[in-house]
Amino acid sequence: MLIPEGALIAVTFYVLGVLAIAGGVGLILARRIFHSALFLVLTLVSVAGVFVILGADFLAAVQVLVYVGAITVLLLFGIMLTPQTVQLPDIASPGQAISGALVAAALFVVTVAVVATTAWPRAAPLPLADQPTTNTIAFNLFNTYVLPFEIASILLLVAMIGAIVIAREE
Amino acid sequence: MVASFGPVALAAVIATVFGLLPLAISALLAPRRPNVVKNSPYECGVETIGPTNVQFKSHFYLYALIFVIFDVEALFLFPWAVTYTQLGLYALIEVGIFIGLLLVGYAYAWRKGALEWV
Repeated sequence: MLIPEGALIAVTFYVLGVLAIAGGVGLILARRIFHSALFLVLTLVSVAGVFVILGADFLAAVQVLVYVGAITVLLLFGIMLTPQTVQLPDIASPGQAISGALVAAALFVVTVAVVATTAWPRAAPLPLADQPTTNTIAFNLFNTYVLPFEIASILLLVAMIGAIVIAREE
Repeated sequence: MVASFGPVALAAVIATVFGLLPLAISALLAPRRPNVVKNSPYECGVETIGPTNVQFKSHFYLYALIFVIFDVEALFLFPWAVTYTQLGLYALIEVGIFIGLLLVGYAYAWRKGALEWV
């Protein structure tokens, strides 16, 4: 291979990180809520890529299916069903911007402090990093945890019927 | 394992470039001589009447909800599909029960007219 795999993964990680942050910033700064939802998709897809790098392939699939698929569709439908007459003001009052910046800065400091002081188990290699996690999950799901699997089906059934009953009442 | 996602990354890059490149070329090369007719919004050639950002009927929310349910169902089927050849008949029956239960909900939605386009 022309480029060492480690370097390739590192570059991919930083590209995904920049995309995720760009999506988050765009989400906040977008004037239209619809555009905010699209920026959210960018962030969620980037995080799915990060999951792949961490060796959590099933989690990446979950991220794409549930978050990018289902959650975003619910958000977009929520936007579609809301009256579109609300126009956001250009920018909030200066006091709001200052207090928002203060809160964000405080959160940033706390997060960095936690990341810096946590003893990450860096020395231990990831147990599943080299093999796909989906197979292991499948074997557990269809052998050990059969009953929870079928109960999940009933849960989905209840959710669907409940949603129809509530939505049709109007 | 990560290396097997290389084609996925490649497809993502190509798809992004495929979408953005024509826009970039157009922005670079296209002459800009706007006039009233060019700038007018149109929909199938006819000018729109009233605001185009309308509120949709809340009935459509049912489609979203049912989609979400079957999206989660697909999520549960995904590990089964990946390891299907190793799991055998027992898992096939389990999945059959799983889908069968959800088909009851689907039939209910159909019967209640939740899937009718209004």
